[in-house]
Amino acid sequence: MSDASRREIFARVTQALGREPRPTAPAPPSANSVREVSFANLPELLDLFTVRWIELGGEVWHGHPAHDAQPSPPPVPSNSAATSLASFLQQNGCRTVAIETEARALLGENTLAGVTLVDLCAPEHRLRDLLFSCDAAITIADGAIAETGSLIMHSGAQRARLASLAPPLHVALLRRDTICADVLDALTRLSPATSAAFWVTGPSKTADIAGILVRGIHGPGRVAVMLL
Amino acid sequence: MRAKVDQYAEQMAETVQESVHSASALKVMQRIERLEGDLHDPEGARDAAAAIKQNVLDHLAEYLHIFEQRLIAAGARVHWARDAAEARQTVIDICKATGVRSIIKSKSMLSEEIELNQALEHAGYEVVETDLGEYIVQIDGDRPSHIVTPVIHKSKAEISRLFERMGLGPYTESAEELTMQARRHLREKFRAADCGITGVNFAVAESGRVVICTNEGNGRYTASAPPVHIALMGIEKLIPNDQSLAPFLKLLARSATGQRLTVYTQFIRAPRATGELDGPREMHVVIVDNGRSAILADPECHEVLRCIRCGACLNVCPVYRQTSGHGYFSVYGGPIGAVLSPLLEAGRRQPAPASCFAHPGTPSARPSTPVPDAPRGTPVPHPTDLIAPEFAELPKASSLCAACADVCPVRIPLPEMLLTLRARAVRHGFAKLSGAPDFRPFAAVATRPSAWRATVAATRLPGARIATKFPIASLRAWRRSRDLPPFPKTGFRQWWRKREKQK
Repeated sequence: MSDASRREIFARVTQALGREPRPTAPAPPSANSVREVSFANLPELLDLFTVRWIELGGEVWHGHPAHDAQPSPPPVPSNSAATSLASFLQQNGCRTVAIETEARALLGENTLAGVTLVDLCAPEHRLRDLLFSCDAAITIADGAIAETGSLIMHSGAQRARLASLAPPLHVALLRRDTICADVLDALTRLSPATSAAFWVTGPSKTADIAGILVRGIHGPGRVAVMLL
Repeated sequence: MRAKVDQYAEQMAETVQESVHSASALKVMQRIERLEGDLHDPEGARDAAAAIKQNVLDHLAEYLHIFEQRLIAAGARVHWARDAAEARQTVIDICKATGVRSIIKSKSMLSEEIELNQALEHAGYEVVETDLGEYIVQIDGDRPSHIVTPVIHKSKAEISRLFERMGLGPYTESAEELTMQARRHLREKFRAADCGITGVNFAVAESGRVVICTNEGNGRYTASAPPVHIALMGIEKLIPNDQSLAPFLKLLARSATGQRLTVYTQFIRAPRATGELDGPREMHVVIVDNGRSAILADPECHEVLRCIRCGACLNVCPVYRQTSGHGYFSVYGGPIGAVLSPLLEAGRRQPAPASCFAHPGTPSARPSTPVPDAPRGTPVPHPTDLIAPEFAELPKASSLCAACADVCPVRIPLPEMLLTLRARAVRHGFAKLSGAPDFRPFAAVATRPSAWRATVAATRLPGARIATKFPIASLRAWRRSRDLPPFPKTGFRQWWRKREKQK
């Protein structure tokens, strides 16, 4: 059925356009390259991202104490980052916390006091049990968009798409030098090979019930970024 | 016989009308704030979006072909459906082949257009709408009243009573509590479903990505949690490449609700890759025509296919605000619906071109017969004359204020199309409404200066205004929802002569 349908749809489209399809790809018009964010220096991008992210109801804090002075952050977080993360989770009553392999690696040898960390795992039913019952999940954010206050995440090996979706609190570890300026910028950085990429612009929300804004309808009601 | 939309508006509860009106007004304000306050060049973005969409339509065959190739190379399956029946059957076939029993759905106008849910339920599948508004519509057996906010017409109390009846939780006046009741209930569905069906906001040809923009998170669950993902899209959803998404992502959420971006923007290319811990094993994209190719052939109306379903035209339309989407008695309401509904319905009845049956080696090619569900004796319209009788009165549900054209992110000339469709309806003799008075008496007076002057003088007689209320039935009907301005004490010519004398 699908072959005949395909043929007919193409025949209809061809007839509508009054010409046979060409073998070469068309040239689309310019995408309006007006930049919404004209600066590119990291401290300003970080400031803008922080403002937008907080406006949306996101939370953010620095994993390192002396952040402004450093031109680029160290690749492996220090003890202080792990301590700061542990204290955030404890303050929020998170006892069981799922953690992605790469995030675990970023924390190095450090454990998080007072928190039980559970690695994302196979098989899938165990993974699902974990993600649907844990208090929070920690994943890496691959980047961020300053203009809109968005986190950029890609699916990948040892990662789970549901890790940043099912738990009520999502903690994203974000390296400051991965923040890009605006949507146009972020689109040019979309990986050509990733099976699923997603941008997260604040906590899940709905206003379907009588126009009243409520957070955490299906996705996390709280999203927190620890900057590295 | 008065127009259905007028009849509907008349019987609408005032509270519903108020909430539709105020919610629309709020979104209009938010849109302006976000577009003008935020973007450096909102008009430029609209120009780019319009030009890109037009380019897509002008090269639709090429873009469809490229998109299909990319998807297949990435491991997704592509299916083609000529009409609603075929689209429904395709989805059912996929479910049968993969042993699916329970299905979750996220927002898809197309799935409503093809009446998918009923067909799936009839075939024995459990189908759960997971967008909160659509879920409420589903369990209440209702219909959505707005493209973006489906239950704008329901109160908290109504929703709570509904949830209580369905066993989601005790009665409560708290929107937060109600939302949590729905979250707890639907979470279990996300966890256990065998198949997820989503719509598609944009289909990027060059990169083979399906882009889905949502706020709640159910769209992500639907595309990622079950082992099978089915994405439904119309043929016109294509975008050339990743970068050309920029103006659309800038405009979509801002036009719809005043957000910069929806909370979740998904870019999906393929099913689960090796090493990934979750994600669907199978990804299916169903590409549906259902009348769109006929509209593509319509020289006066094909631009309507640029629509990105933002809902901005609904929010700003004075007629929509008085009636909500239900007043249009169609899947698509508001200004876009008034144009799309008559065109799509007529487009579905266009027979296939002879050329698609001339292919060698197609033993199953069927003879060119009219589409089965066209009523007997329905004339087959010429491509430049598409309009379905059932929806012919919708283009009249408009004051022609053109506010819709002002807000459309892809610059669809809706007012011109509304006029074009009205003319087609008249040519076919479809739209016979007594709501419009016979203008011939007016024409007779307006083309005779002495008669005109006499009529104008008559308006200054006592009782003139009252006289317009009784004598003529059609005038009475027309006046029921229109106020005449007060008749001035002096005529313009008198005033002018006086003024000239004073100089």
